[in-house]
Amino acid sequence: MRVLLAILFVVAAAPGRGQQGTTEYLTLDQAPKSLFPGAQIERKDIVSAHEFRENLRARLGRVKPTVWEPTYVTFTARQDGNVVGYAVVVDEIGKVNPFTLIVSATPEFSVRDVAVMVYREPRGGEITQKRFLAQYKGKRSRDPILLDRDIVGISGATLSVHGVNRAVHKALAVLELVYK
Amino acid sequence: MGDKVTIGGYGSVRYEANTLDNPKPSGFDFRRFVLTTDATPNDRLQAYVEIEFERLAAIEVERGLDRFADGAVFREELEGGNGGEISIEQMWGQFKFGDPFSVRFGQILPPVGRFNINHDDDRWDIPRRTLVDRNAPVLPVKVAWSELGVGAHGGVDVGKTGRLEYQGYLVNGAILDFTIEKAVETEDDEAILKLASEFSLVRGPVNGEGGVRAGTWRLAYSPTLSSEIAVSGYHGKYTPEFMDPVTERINAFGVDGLFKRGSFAIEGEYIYSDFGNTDRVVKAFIDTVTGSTGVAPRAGAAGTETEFAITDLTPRRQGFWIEGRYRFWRERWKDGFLGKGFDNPQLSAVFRYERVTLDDAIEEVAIEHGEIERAHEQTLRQERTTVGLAYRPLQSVVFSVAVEFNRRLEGDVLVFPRGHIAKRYTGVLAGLAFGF
Repeated sequence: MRVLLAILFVVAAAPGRGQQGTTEYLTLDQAPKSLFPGAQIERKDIVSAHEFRENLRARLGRVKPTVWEPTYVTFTARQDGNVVGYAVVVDEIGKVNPFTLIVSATPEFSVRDVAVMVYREPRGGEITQKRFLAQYKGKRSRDPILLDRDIVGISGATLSVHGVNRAVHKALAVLELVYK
Repeated sequence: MGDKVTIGGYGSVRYEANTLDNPKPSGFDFRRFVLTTDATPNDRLQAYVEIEFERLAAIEVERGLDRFADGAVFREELEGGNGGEISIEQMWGQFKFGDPFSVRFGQILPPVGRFNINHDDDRWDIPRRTLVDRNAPVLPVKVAWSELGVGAHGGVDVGKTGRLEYQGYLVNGAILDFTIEKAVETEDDEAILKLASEFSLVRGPVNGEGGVRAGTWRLAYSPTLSSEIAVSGYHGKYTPEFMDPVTERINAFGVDGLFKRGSFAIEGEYIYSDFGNTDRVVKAFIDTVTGSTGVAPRAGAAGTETEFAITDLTPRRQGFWIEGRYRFWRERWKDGFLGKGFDNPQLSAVFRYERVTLDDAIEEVAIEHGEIERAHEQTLRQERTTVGLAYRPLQSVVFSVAVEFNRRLEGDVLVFPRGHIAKRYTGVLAGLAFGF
């Protein structure tokens, strides 16, 4: 019994990385550093004015974002003076609430990494699994990035998977508009 | 409801026609509407409720008392469609200790096989649930099967792409329970009020009187995001206390899996359920009804009849289904009537093969007119092959058509629809299922 209680105490004391409710996985300060460890990070905020948004809308084509951010927080990562990648923070709605992702891209604008910063839905939290997010690596804006085409879904998290697909499309479009 | 409470649900309707002489089911069928509420007041706390309205358009109760000079009439009427049901499919609260360990308490889904835990109609491309899980069923209780209990679930990552998940619960457990059926019959110019007490296996009681009698578990390993294999089980006593000292148990085991590659997915399940010595259960039932006299009770008072029956006893059941799906879409269709206005519409070609076997099945043992009537035991086996096409304008909305070919392989009657003597029949189904 003591052993069981000890196990319960240890597990309960472990930091919760929840799959339901609002869970913050990375702060705005931590996020770019986790994607570009050891690199020099330069932040640039892009105000999404009317013209920028229309250009973004045109670039996205059939993809219809559920959130149009007023400002995009972007980052440029450099190592030894060379650009090693870019990143942007985007929001998209899974079922009801928006979740926040950071998407990094190579200098050639293919996805380098995707990480969930904040997840706010009671269900669908399986998208925070690394093995799910790993399949976006190498995606480009011209790729479909669609469920059951080039993205493998997760039962019970379908709407959130659609949200991540839209978020990655939007992130690549923003980075291409700003840095290409 | 802000970010604390989410309302959702799913619903489905179906049209069915088939080649049976007296086709049933057939016509339009309101399969079910399920309303879900998900409350998450904190990241580590969650409450979830699923309320199902199945084949139910309305329930109306009328009561009244009419007083006359010679006396009074107390009147009660209950109106509703045949087969209608309201039930709580799930109702649980959860406390998360950490990613690998959450405790869940309440009305949960026994995780035997993969259909019961993935039973939302909008998930499937064929507008009928499987023989194994619903129509036969091989599962101890038909889907959606829920039980009241407590347990734990969680998962851990294994290597770079793998994941191991588990569930384990102690539950009240499925039990042989009775319903009282009333019927008014006319026979030889005489009206008869018939009362039948019918015993069958149903999900466990929720009134705290039956005790904790069963356990259920599932262990799933997913080597990659696109594959999963799982084993599962359910073990517990199903005979009620009044049959003591006869105690029989259900031991059910399942193996299931999913494999996806590109647009192709294959999914399947095998279930084996053992119900122990059902002859002892029948004897205990007869002993219970006949009491110490050992004599079957005679008919009731003039104008009334009584019947006691136990139905659908099978010492062993087993069955499997395997389903293949191919999802496809062509970019040139995006401005057509199927694609216009939708982000990611899909068409799916789907194929399902299923087979069930009920060993030594007894359809009914009845005690009526002072006699014990026992239907003869026979093994029933049926296979069903279904091909279909599904259209999903959104991932959570599916319009589907399917043709199913049923064949009786063993026994005098079909397993589903039970009692039909056709050797084979073909059914055409069209359905709509939606989630929100």
